[in-house]
Amino acid sequence: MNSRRNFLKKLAITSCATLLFKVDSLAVEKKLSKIQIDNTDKSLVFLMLNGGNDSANMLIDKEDEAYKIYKESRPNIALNEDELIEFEVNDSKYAIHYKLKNIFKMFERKELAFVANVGTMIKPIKKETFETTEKPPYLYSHPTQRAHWQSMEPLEFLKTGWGGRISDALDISRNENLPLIYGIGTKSLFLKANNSKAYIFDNAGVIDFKRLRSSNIYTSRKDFFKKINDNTNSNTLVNLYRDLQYSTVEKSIKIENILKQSEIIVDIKGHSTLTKNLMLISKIISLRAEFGLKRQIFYLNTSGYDTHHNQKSNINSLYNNLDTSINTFNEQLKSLGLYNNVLTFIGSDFGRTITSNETGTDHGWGGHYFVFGEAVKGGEVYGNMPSLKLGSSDLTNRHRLIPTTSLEEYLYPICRWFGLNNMNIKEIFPHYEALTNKEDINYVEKKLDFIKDEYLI
Amino acid sequence: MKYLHLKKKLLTSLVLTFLSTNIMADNINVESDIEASRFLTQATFGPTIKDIQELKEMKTYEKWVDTQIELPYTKMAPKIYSMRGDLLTEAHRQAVWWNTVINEKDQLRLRTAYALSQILVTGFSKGFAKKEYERTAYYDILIKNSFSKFNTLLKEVTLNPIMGQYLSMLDNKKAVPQKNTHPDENFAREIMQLFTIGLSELNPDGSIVLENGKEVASYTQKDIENLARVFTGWQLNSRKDYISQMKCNETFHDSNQKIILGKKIEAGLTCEDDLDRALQILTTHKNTSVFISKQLIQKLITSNPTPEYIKDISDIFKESQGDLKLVIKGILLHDEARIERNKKSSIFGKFKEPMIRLSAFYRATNTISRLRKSTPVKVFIGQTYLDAGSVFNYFRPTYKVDPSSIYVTPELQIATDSILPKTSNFLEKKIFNLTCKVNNLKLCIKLEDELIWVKDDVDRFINHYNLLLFAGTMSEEMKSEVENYIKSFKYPTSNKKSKTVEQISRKRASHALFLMMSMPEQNFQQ
Repeated sequence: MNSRRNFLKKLAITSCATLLFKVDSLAVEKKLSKIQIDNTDKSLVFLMLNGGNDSANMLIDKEDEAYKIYKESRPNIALNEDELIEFEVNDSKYAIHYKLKNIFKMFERKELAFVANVGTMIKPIKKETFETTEKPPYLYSHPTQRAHWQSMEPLEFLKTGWGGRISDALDISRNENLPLIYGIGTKSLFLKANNSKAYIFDNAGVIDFKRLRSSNIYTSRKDFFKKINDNTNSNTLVNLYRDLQYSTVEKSIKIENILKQSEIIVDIKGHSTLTKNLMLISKIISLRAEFGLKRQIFYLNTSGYDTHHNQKSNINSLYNNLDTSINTFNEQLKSLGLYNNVLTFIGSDFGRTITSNETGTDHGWGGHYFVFGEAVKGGEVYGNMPSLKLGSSDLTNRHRLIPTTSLEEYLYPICRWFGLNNMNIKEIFPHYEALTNKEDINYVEKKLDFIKDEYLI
Repeated sequence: MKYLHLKKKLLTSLVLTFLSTNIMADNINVESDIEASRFLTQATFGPTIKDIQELKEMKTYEKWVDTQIELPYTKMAPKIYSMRGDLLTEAHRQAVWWNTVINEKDQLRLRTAYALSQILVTGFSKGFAKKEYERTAYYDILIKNSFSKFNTLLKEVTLNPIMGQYLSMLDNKKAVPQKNTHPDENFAREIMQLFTIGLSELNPDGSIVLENGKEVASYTQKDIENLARVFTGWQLNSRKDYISQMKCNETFHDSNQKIILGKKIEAGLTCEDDLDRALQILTTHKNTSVFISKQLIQKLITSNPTPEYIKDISDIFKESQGDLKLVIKGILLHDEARIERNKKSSIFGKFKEPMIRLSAFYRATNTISRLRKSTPVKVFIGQTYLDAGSVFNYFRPTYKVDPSSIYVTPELQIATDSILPKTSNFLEKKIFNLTCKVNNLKLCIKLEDELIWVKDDVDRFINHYNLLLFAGTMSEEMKSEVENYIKSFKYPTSNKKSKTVEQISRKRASHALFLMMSMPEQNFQQ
């Protein structure tokens, strides 16, 4: 009875707000077809390395000639052989940064795959037509490039995110309106939707409103806020906030009650924030039955990758933390029996310039990424390893990698695994079709089939 | 001759703008306590009864602004320097800020400086852990120049070693072809993107220029590369000196010709001449007056100013060559800010910044701040000072809580599912601990008359805080809700021990204040 009244009241607020609010006509989303899913449990985790990861030092072409060029192109920044873990796949030599030793083990166990030279694009691009091809607006800028990763609609910023759109389109039974998209310790445009509201967890978990001190009028804090929220105001924005505050009250109580049912400890002394956040994700996934959701989407980030100076020492500590956190998470998923149900991929604002400014590097474009989980055909490097030779067709004049794989192509197999069909993908990623039409671009095609075939039927 | 003529024309037009066109409410009298409180909510860290009375005695808002501009300005660095007997920590730096905004008189300047600190952002950076004094000195530059020319402010900011380290302009060197090194582009990019012209071409009214439906980038990668070469050669004035302006070592400076935004800086200039020329190009670019003026309006008055409001203020910026005291004065006296609340559009106003909301609560409760250390409140309320997560500040001026709306709600970017309960819990803790132990190095929150009113004259108690915390926006329903709540805490009918009476009065005050601070209307200024 109570929840029905709340629901009706919410509707009233929403419709009232819609009437008063000028709607941005550009922002009205094209209608999305339903995403029909099977009965398996799947959780998708998007880890963003904020600031622009200098991934030219994460994954290195270790063929003799390529390594020589690498060292010449970035003399102050290049890794020496004792700072590399070398390996060979399909007769090609590669190396990864020596701090990523656990990630390398995951790669060896075929749990993890790298995807080379991925970047934001609107149309396929190559150096000869660099000036004339339409490129994403405001390349090399943090907020716009990060927003591109999150919205996948660079021509209409600040609208919705692709995680949010998937959530809106999923044909899924939703238990008590519990959200299926979550930010861990951060909000993100990625999570923004027209209908689905994300829940933003604190680093430590759910922050609940403290119990109300003894009162003769209000029975609880929820009741307290509910009474306050019965008012309306002539100012539209105040009413928006009223809705926001009350929805937090409702969600935090519900979600805290679910989290209480698990004994998994997230906040372990000595663990980094990133590790704790990933542990929290494992806990939420383990409670999937209680949430009553077949699909969940998580977004989290870790900062410090904008290495304009002291790149080498900064990256050493960043990768050390990344490696430990990802390994801890991966092992945790296995021990909870969730490994088969989770796919994790990384993103970053952009790669960085191949040349340096002495101790650091600048904002770039293309970069290398990785994805891991049971569904991954790991132990491979997908995409095209670029030539770092200054003046090569893989580099702009100021020595930024020109991406050979679009974000759309990187995300396509991931979304297929999650349950999207081709039509869903074209709707969620408005530039997908333009980007996969590569008639004019004759680079060596290497299929990005890093997801096992059985998930792509 | 030509220059003199131009200057005369500009000055005349400025006077005209202020006196004859009626755009500015310079001659509007301060009509009521509520209007005075509303004004002080926009211009200070929170109204007090004393400030409301002073403003009314001055008769006009203009007089108050002029008086504020003339006040000697606070310097925070000496305050933290006096604590150097302790090992200085962030908690000391925060304490100095609270003591300043709660106690000091130059409120308009301090409020402007806080706004500027969220445009010209320096947050925490590696190596800053032991630079609390130096970081405070950076903030002092903002306070000092809150009413200066924007160009003067920007030059001091640019040459400050804390900014130098934060955006890695410090020790930036010209290209060395043998090593394939290039100047660092960090500062060059952000000074354009965030401190002056913004990403895209703007019309004078703040709207984005569209060509064939698309935004037009206001600068190119080439501009960044050229500007990065301007900012080369700057080093610490002396070893470990993060307070004095950086000095230039010409051997690391790129003195070749640069082309920036279509304008040429000829070869052979010194570091400083190069810098002056570049800052001149940036601060006189047609975007800068609009870009900065709009953000200052959003920080003080309303999140969604009308195009006319933006254009009027941007014109003042342009005509006065970025004179911030005229810009701030124009913002506060503009019709859109001053017209009576009930005649305003349904989207006028802004959410309060958490730090300002909190300081206003302290000032409304007669707080004396003698803090020596104060835990940074960012973990509770999402904001502190000088501690944004990145150069993009705690929140972006373009943030919308509702993606389908055309209206922005910047402050709500930090109103997350975790910050909202934390803020509420934090306020609860403060409000149920209204104490004043003067000798403690803590906040001394003093309720005196208020404790009498909450017992004997509940209406007065409610009206008092409706004035100070809501600038009069409480509805009759809201007031009666608070009244019922207060009256539900009964005094004992017999055995009237004074201690029990005072305890119940405190209980009433705390519960009532917590209820009022939790009302959505309290978090919004209009």
